[in-house]
Amino acid sequence: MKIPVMLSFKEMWRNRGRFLLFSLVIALITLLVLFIAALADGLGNGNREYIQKLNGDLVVFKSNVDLSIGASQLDRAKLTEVKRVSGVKDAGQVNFTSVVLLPDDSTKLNVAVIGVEPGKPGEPPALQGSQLESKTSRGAILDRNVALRTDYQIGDEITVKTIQDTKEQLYKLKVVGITDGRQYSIQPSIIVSQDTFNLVKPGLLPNPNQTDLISNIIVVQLNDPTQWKQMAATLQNKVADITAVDKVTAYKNTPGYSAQQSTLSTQNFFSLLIGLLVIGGFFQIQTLQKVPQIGMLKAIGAPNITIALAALTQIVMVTILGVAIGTGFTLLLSLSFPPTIPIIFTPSAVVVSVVLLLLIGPVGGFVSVRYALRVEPLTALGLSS
Amino acid sequence: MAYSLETKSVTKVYKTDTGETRAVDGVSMSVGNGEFVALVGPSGSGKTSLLAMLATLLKPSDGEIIIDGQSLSKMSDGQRTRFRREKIGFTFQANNLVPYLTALENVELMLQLNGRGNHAGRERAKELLARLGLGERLNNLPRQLSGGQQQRVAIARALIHNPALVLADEPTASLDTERAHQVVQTFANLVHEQKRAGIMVTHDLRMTEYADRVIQMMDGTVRRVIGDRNEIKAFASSRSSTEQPAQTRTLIQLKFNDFAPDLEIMTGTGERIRLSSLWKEKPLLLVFTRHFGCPQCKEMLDQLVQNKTDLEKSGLTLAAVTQGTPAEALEYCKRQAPGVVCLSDPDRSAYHAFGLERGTIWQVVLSPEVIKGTATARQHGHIAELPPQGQDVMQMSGTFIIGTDGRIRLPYYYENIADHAPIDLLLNGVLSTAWDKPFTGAMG
Repeated sequence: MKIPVMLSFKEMWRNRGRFLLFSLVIALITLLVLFIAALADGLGNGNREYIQKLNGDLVVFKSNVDLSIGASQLDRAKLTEVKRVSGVKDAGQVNFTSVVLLPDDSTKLNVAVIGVEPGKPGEPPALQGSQLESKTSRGAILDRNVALRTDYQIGDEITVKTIQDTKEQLYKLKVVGITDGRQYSIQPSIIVSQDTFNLVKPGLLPNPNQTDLISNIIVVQLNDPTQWKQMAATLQNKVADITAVDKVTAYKNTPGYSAQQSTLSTQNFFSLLIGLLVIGGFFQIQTLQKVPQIGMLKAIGAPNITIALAALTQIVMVTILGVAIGTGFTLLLSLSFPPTIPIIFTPSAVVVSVVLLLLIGPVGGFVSVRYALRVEPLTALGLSS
Repeated sequence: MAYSLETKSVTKVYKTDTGETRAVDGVSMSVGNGEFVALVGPSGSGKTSLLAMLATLLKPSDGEIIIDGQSLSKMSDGQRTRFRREKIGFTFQANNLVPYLTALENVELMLQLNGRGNHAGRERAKELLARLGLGERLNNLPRQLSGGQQQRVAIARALIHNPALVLADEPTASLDTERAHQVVQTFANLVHEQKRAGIMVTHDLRMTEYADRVIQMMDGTVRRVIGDRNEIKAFASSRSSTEQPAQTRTLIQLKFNDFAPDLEIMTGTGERIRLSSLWKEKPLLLVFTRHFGCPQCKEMLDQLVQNKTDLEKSGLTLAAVTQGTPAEALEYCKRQAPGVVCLSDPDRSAYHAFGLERGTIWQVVLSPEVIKGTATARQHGHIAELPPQGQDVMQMSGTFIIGTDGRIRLPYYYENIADHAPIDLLLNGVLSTAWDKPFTGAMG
């Protein structure tokens, strides 16, 4: 192993300009792959974060709405029926809509408003401040992303703008708590009680005589969360006109989620494929240029394993260097991005991308190694077989 | 005498499109420890194939090779590679050194490949390089060394691991005369001192003066062995040209003809015509090919076709002569040399009439007219004095022979000169366009 490493290292060191340039090409591909992966994660997270972090095990939709949260409408009676099913620990109704938050005269921030029942599944834990107190309070728990972008503190009054009966209405709410990231539909969210939700939601003006509480979904906590599959079937059997699914199925069916994720996965696949071809092409050209030299090495008795290991070591070293530069550069660059850009570098996504990028080097260089092995030592004498 | 190398009736047969070619035909020879042998012969004589077999790079079709008491016949490919690494030292015509290793590292590489890369080995490599006058160049990369210095590094690498046999393939091909002498002399001295068997393939007969024996090959066989010191000196000094004996003989033969031989030859359609019917009208350029499928022939014909318009404008008629039947010739010409007069020479009578040797590509220009041209002569010993100073236009007529190195021989113009070294010639700028790139690919 000493000779191949020595040969490949000395070649790289004494042609460092060329190899560094090529490493930078790999670094750029790394940058592209990592950014697409981070964008996929960021966008995916923006869509699914609230549902993924729900303190429940099942999500109940109205049946025949294709698991569309917007189309699903469930009344209080359904909640009662769900709660009566054996194995259900607790359940809460959850509603979704969007309004505009007005932190000051010149700033607008689109936010998701999520209506929950205080103390019931669906209400996120307040990491600062307190939980929602009663269903009629005008309190709001802010998603951490809202707090970061607006600098609101506990006790602050916030103003939301909504359109009701074609007119702009402004409502004042009080920040009672701040929770972690709870985005929904790529918007940061504010979590309010169901009464407050009905007050601010766009559409018709609130009807004070309305007694039934309609929600989009019901979040269900189970006594034994491991039994979620059986419980989903039981719920569907015992409660008419509903569909119960786990949280993953629920967020995968949020509008555009699957299309967006598959588009980004395809982009990432093609970036890796391009990387594979670029690395393969570079090393193949390099091997073609080195045919007389390889022939000479074989003629003086260098075994095939030495030639192959030297080529492979070089490919691995160049790839590692390129991926390291690319990863470092990507992480540095990401620090300069504003929080509005939905990019998240999760360790698992970064590790998977880096491992894939490290693998495409040897895979791409395989053809050139094979070619090097087939060079005849006779070429050193100007002959061929 | 103990022999490091013995060959017994070694034969190499290549299969070609038109049958078989015996590149090496029953060669038996032996080289003792401390003996330095020069292997000479024209292109196509089989010396490179023989060298490749001695180097274990090519398996003989028949016969046996014994190096350092071990027969190569039954060795596997892996064993041959190992044997080559341990028992054989090599220098090549070109691409001798690993370009990204320093002179010292290149020499050490051979020790490392043999598992002997240690401090003592490094000191020995330094010592050997210093002996070769490269003590100050240890850390230079090959591109920072001259051609001669590179060859000396290659010699050091070939000898550092104490091989039984040292092979040198055209070690002086890219060197000027002075450096060529230095390199070969050093090589010979080290072979003698270290008691290795050394074999050098060379086109440059002057270099044979350092050999203990000269083996002259022709048509795949050993034509002549010169072992007497005085005979070797005479052999080396009688031809200060860079040419081979056969080619020189060709020149001498043609020198006394006033006109080119007016042969009967077949056209591609099978019709028999006299060459004079072609060249008496216009100067004629004949390209004699080796055999069908020969890559060098293709290269030469490609160049001919590329430059066809220019050559014809300069008043030349172009013809390709192949060694097959008229039908085969016609098919070959259609494919390789469209628009060129196609001639067939199945029994090689025309080939021999011009004194050309088997296995070699030749171009012959026949001209009854006086061709005016600008000639430049350079290098090649004392012929460099010609044409006379201040006179760069010369007139010539008759037969010109262009060898596989792309240079033109003038059998008439220098008839009072005993030495017929080739000169680089520009004929109104035309031939330089066609043959400015020497044909170096012809091999035995």
